[in-house]
Amino acid sequence: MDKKNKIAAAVIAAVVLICASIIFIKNTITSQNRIAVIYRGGKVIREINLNSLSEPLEFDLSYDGHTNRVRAEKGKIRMQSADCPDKICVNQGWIDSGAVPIVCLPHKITIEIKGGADKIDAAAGGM
Amino acid sequence: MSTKKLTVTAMLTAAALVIFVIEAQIPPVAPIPGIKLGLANVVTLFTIIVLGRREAFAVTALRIILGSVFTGNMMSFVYSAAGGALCFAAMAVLTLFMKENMTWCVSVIGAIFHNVGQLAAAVIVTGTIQILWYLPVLTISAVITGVFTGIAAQCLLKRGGGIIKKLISETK
Repeated sequence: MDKKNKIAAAVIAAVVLICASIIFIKNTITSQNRIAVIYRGGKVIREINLNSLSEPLEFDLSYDGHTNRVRAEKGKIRMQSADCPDKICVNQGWIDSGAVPIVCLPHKITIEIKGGADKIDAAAGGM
Repeated sequence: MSTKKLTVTAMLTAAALVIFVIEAQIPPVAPIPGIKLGLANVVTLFTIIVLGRREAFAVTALRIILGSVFTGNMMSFVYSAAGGALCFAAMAVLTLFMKENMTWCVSVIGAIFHNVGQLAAAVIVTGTIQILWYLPVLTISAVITGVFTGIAAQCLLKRGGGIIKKLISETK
């Protein structure tokens, strides 16, 4: 391995380390006070305090003739079903931290878990 | 363009397409969308180095267009095209000053740019900036898969690069 290769390997290793740190920090911050935020086309359409859910919550998001069914349980959330052809969001399964959001590209729906202050009314399911 | 060069370019396009279609049949290894091996990039890298950038652009563009037709996934075309364009641009620039023994590095950076392009397209289409949280995860995955495909390309260059170069230069 020559010098240039070594430098390149070191830079790439540093990038991996930075990315791993970002994931770790985001994971830690968002796994204490889990608030799921659902976006459609960049706008917040619903917020749910996942930690204070006492029983499972299931609801449909219907836009332009397409439906995504979201299921939330204590501390986690998933896309239960979707009528898109690829089912990528459904196959992703549960998320319980903000490390990666769930994205339904064809229907432009994103579910992100945020950390932060406990200010959302859990009893109302956070509408 | 000589007939030989044209034939070799067509052959490489066919190879890239076959690799792409076969890879699309492999079930995803992780539940996170966007993670895949990207073996077809081996052909793009090989073509940039052995034939040139113009030919490599043709191979990549045709692979993306025909690939989404053959796999029947026209919805993913926008993301493939955005990722492919950025990946190709990055690799075309990097190969200017990185030698053949650094192909693995070109491949890694190309793979990272591929993900950046795809994410940028997803952010624009959905209007949701939060999708960028995928970037750290996808970058780590790009480094792993990029090293693998880069080493594959380096082995291919060592064994087949000389033969193809000789074949083309014979009829100048």
